[in-house]
Amino acid sequence: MTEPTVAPDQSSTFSRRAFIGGALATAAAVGGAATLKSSPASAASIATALRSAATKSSTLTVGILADVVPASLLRIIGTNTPVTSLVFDTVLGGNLKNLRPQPNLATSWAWNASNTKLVVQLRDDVVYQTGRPFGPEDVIFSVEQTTNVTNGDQLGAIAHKITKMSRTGKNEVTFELAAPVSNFLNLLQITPVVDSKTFSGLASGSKVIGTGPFHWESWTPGTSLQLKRNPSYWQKGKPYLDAVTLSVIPNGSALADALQTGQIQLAWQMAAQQANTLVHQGSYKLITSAPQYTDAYIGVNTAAAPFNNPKVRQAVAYALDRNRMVTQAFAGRATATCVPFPLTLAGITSAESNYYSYDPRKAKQLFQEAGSPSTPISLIFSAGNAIQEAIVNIAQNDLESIGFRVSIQSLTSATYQAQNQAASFQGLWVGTIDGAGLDIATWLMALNPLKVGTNTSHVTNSYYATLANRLYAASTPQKLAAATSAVTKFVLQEAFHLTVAHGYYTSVAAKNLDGVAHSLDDYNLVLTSARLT
Amino acid sequence: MIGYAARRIGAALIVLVLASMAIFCLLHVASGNPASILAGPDATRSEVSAISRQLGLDRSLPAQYWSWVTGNLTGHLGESYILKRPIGQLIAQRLGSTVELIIGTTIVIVILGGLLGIASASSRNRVVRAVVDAISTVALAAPPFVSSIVFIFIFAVEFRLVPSGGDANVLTSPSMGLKLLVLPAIAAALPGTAVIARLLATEMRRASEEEFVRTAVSKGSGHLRVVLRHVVPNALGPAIVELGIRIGELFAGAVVVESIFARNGIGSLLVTAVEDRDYLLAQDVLLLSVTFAIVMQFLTELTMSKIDPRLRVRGGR
Repeated sequence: MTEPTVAPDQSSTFSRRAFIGGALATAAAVGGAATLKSSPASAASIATALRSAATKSSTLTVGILADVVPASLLRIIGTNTPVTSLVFDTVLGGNLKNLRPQPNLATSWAWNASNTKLVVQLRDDVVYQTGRPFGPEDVIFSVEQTTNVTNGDQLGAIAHKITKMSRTGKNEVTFELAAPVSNFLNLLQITPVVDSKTFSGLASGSKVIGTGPFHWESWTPGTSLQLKRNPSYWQKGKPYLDAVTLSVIPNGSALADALQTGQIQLAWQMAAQQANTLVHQGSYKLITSAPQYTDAYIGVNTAAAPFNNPKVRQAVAYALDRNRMVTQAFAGRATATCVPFPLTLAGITSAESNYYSYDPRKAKQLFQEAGSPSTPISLIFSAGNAIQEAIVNIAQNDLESIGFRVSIQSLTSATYQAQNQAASFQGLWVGTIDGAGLDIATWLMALNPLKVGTNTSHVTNSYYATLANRLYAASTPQKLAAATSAVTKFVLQEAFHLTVAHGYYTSVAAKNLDGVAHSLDDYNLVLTSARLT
Repeated sequence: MIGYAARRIGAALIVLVLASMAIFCLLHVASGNPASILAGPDATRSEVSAISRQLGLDRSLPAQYWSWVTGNLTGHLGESYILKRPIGQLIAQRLGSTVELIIGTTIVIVILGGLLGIASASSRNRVVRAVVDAISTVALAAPPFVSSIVFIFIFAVEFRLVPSGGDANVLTSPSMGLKLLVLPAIAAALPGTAVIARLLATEMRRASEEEFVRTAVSKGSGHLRVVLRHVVPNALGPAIVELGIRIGELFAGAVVVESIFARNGIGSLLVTAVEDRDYLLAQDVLLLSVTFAIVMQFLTELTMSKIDPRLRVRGGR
């Protein structure tokens, strides 16, 4: 059997040893700060001082509801959000508010005039956790893995646009494309940079090597994942934490209890209602993924009656009480909207966000104009998903009030996923997309609910493909805004993807935990600057 | 005795073969497969098919069944499709936690169920009998889900007597292991305790009316001696059978308790395997559960034959 998975209680009595250690550390920090006064403060120096000033044990235990799946570490899936950004870096980072790319493992990048060649300069001070220096071949290897069907990720659709990638300098890699791809940088913002030498051990979790702030030490499936600080991390002085333990606690109530008893200091992505309850006690603080969100939507199969009639789809859109869904399904931690894409993007207006205001009278009118279809319709959700279930119950009430005959159908998660992949949902279904960190072009290229060509709603309109191509080829901010506006209008008018809210993930932390953040993609847990005080 | 054992083993093998077929078919009839899970929500059908081919899931069902059975017979349990770890290793990692929970729960059922049953049947005090019956009723009515949450709230959150959940080896960390075991063991034991108590009480009342008991009383034996030496041994039969069934269920059936107390036992492994359509892992765990139940049934029969000479196994003395 494994070592105990219970974290030591962090609220233990303040011992003399801890006092002396804390005093020395504080003195060192003060002395260090005094020294810094006489010389330009460097980020690394400040980071080192902050690390020295930590007075308590710097092992963080995070409670997670589902175990990680190493075999899917390269994919954008929810269960790996606690670990991906702890172990791996990406070539580019991203500003969470405006989604603009930022340096990370790359220091700079430049397109040629026709936007078909990208030259990326990489840092020269990065090493893998094995000590091997990181270089251009690793970027090339990692991008190639995205196109590997057996372990590739959604962004392989972007990688397939590459005609050539090569090392063109000591720390330089060049990508060549046949035509401009406006969302190409998403590939470098999202793809974890893996170690080509130990890649064969990734899927089993026996050798998971990256350049990130923490080492993957050991994984006991279903129990816990132990991570240790990477002393060679390229952000000098960071991370501040010595170790992180991800403890699997599959029950929401048990997760809350573990936080209240001090066994964990961070409950990752718990239900909003439970998060609100804990935070209202006053002893914990809320951490949300905002501004990043999950697009909660009701999908519509446009291939079968009655939803092959646009008026019927629009009737559904007007019938949905989105504000009630925000309150009841998300406990208020969401924004009601009709647009799946980030509302801050150029080309999206507030009018579009409220395109389908809650209007049962209009919904009923459209329903009647469409002939008041009496065919019973299915409203499908994934069993065990409390948010989807809450949305479904509200939607059923809304739709029946205007005349639809609705039957709710819950599917096991495996069946739900299989039908999502096969686009075989009948009627309506509830889904979520964690795509707020992605360009809209990536949504249309890679995500099944909105993918051009083969999507779960069976929208095969050639105009959709035309709009998407304009978006992929947009080479200026103005063209991008115009293409974004056109795509948004199409999605709204065709009413096959009925967004109800942008929901925020909620985590709850002990008050002595600072510096918890989310990454751009899939809102991964970021602990680079986290510390226990 | 040897003939009896041989007949039982033969019957057990037939049950295992039939169970393996049922397990295999039921898992493969359900929609979804491990390739679909691994491929992720945005995969295309061709990507799912490619992964299926890589995992060998494109073979015919009889071929997959034969491969699984022959692998088990030669000790090669295979590798989890999702976790990419040897199944034997995954089961071994969880087995300790399950064994601890089974032992702990059994001890609680035996001690608490026995005491409640004896008290209910032998006490002459009406109040005592009423209290005991009330305890049994509450224990039977409260599902493990409810009792687990209540215990955690009272003993872990409010009074901080024990941790709220987790797992620790009782052999290597006795103090922490026992602290982490006590609440889940009691929560899992309560329904069985109530049933055992009622069965024992009913049988004790029946046995108290037997002539040998009246004989013992008329010869001047004390009340306690009569109960413990004459009544209880003759009333144990149904309780032992029930205990055997309860223990057999615990192997993979304590899922709710494991989930709430964050224990990593076989039950939670099985649930995850089924949810993820991790065929080989789910099949092996289910077959192991059936085997455990068969073994428990055999042990129960042996115990019964030892306790009651009238029930000697066929072929024995």
